[in-house]
Amino acid sequence: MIRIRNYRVERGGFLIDIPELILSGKKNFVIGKNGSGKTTLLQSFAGIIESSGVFEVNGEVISELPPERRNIGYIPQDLLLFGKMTVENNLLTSVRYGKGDAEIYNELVNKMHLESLLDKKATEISFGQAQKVAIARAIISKPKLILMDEPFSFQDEISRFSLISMIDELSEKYEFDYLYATHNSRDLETGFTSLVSIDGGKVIEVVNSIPEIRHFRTLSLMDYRNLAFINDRYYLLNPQSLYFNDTEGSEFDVIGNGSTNYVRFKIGENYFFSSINREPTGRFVKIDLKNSQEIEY
Amino acid sequence: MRRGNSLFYLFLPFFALYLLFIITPIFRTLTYQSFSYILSDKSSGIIQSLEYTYLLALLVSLLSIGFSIPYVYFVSRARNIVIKSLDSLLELPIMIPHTVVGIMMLITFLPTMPVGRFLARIFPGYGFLDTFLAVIITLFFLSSTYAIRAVQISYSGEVMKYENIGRTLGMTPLSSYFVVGIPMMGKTLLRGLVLAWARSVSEVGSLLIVAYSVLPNGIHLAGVLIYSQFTSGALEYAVASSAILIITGLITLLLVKFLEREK
Repeated sequence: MIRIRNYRVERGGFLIDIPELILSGKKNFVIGKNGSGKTTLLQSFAGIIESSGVFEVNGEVISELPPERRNIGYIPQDLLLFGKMTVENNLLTSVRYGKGDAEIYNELVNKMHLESLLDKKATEISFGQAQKVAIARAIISKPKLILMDEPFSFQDEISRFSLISMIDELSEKYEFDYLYATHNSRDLETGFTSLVSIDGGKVIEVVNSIPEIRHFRTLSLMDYRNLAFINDRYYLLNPQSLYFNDTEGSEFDVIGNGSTNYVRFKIGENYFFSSINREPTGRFVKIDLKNSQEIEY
Repeated sequence: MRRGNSLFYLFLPFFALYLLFIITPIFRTLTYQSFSYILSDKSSGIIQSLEYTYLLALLVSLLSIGFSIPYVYFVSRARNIVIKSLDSLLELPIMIPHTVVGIMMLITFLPTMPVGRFLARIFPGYGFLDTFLAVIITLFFLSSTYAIRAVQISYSGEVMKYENIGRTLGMTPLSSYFVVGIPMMGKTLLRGLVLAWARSVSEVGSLLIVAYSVLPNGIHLAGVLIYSQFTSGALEYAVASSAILIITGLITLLLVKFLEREK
């Protein structure tokens, strides 16, 4: 379980302020736009940047501990494998200098097929191989929690899903929780126990499943379609929200890939995309707000 | 990629012009006299002078690098605004005219001055004017900035992130610094060393004041020697000595570049 209280940090004029956040599951995701504060939150949790507040993992307060005693693994986006070392030395860092487990090292080298890489310098392996090594390096250190800051964002979808699924499996075997930061909602399709939505340095909402999401800012990260901003209010649209006619409303065009189609229309300066389940009739589209669900910003 | 890139070709003359501007005076110095005349200049003491100059410059640059390592660690990790502001003072020696630096060193470190008097009390026989100590202190004042800034850019921009990862893997600050950080800084340290060394070799103004006669047999440190040859009217000697300094300096820099590439 992860608990954060009175967390506050300012970085380059950007304030992140989280009075309280509790994540009771094993498999946690943080979603937010680039620059929303995800990286800073994770780095604060790992203890590598200074911040105020209380961080707890499984009931143990770790905020006063230095990074080497927090038992938290951290995998940044650029992985940061030690380039002057071989892959083997990268993997054994925590065994030699921390609480790492040589048995886990042996298991993971076999399981993740890293044998052929061990003698290579970390700079000599491909990015895909480096991602596996970074995961293994973090797990060998026997963390209670692994923080991942979009470490697979440069991968294609299938590779990303495979890596997240691998972490899923390993988290069961080696008994660690994880917190995975992403701005790509597709990553959530591998399943999660808690999802934190963060924007502008604040937690927007915490949900346990996609249908629980109530906020425009979270939904817009999930899917830009079927959302509208009308008269200073935010709405979730559906095919019944659209009223096609020849006299009033916004002009539209139909877009889509053949299997799923949308109408694209403009209100004020903003373009909106709404799904349709039949061919539109008429030149204009009008939004029926009574058939739309108002959502929070 | 370059095909059709008109901006690339538009800027090419700037590159060529700048290179020409740098190379022309060097070429002129190297070809002012015949090569045999340049070699005959050895009798002026330039070779011995260069030996001293290069060694003293190396000592100063090693000292600068030695200081830069803990200095950069401390400043890069400090969040205090006062420390950050004090760090900006590091550029001050670059701005001060070098003759002024010589005077500053004299009124600080002469045994008759407060700091010098204090040092003389601790180290009996302490002297400053025309000593190797004066050369080292003065050159350190002028050159260390270059080494520190070279190391700082690399450390605070890159190396620190890796050290932090080392700590999440259980390393103490000390082990992450020496096992992860320092090995990553090899090239940067070499670059800092070269910058500080080159800056020390080229110094004249302050050495005229604090160490004009530091070397035996009437020879001087390279810059001072060439300046003396020039002011005594022996332009040919001054140019020949300069040519030797440029050639040996160039060989040294190329050697370092080669080593840097090897690493």
